[in-house]
Amino acid sequence: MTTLAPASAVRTPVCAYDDLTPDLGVAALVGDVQVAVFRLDDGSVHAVQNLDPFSEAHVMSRGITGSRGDVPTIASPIYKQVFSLVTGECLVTMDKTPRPGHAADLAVYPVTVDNGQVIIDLVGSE
Amino acid sequence: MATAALRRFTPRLLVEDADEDTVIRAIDRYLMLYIRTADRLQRTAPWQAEYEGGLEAIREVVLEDSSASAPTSTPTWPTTSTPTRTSGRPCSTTPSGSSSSPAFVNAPETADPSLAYVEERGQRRPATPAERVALVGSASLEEIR
Repeated sequence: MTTLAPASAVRTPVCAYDDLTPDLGVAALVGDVQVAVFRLDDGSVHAVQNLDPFSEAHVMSRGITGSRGDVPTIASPIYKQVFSLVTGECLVTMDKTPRPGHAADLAVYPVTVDNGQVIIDLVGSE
Repeated sequence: MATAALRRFTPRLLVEDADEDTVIRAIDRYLMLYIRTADRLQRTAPWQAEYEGGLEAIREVVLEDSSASAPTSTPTWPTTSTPTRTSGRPCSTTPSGSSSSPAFVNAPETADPSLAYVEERGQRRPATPAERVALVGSASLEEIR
């Protein structure tokens, strides 16, 4: 397919960058994985797992964007845990523990904007 | 005002045998008089009870334009036809139509596969974790790695 990406890379176009509303998220299907994609006010695009580890609901794309210092964050709409959009690290646990079998931190997916298209590269994820 | 301090007030008749226009105008003027003269957080019943001149005075203002300082006879209550929107986030910017809010931006026809429902007494409810195992095949719905 594309010559630049490594042979194993799966580049999944998600949507047009212009379709994203600043500070709001959308959910996308990348293979079988639900990914939450956010465009922030500064123009950057971030992608994390859509699964909320504290509620086991696929709702992170409906969370509220914010920041802790310079770190852009996403807050779960269920129990309000706060996660870094850069590293996925859970910054505020709200004194709760994630559901069994889940890490508190979110998986982060590399996301690029190419030719106006938002593209997620699953192979580069943790 | 403590809840325990609230007591029942007997409904009192302001006007009877009124046509629709009179009723609407009376409600409008009653509410505007209340808004302009009641204390902060004072409810309508105590306001009505403590209004100088009592219900008779309110009736004169509401129905008979007795007071110069009373609300004007034209409706002042904001009409509800004016759409309101909060500042900041836009309302849905996508044109309404076929699918107002698809689960996935890149697969608008696909429903969220993690959602499982069970019918109970003729109504749909979310499946319990145990039921989910049978329906979706995984209780914890772990993301694939």
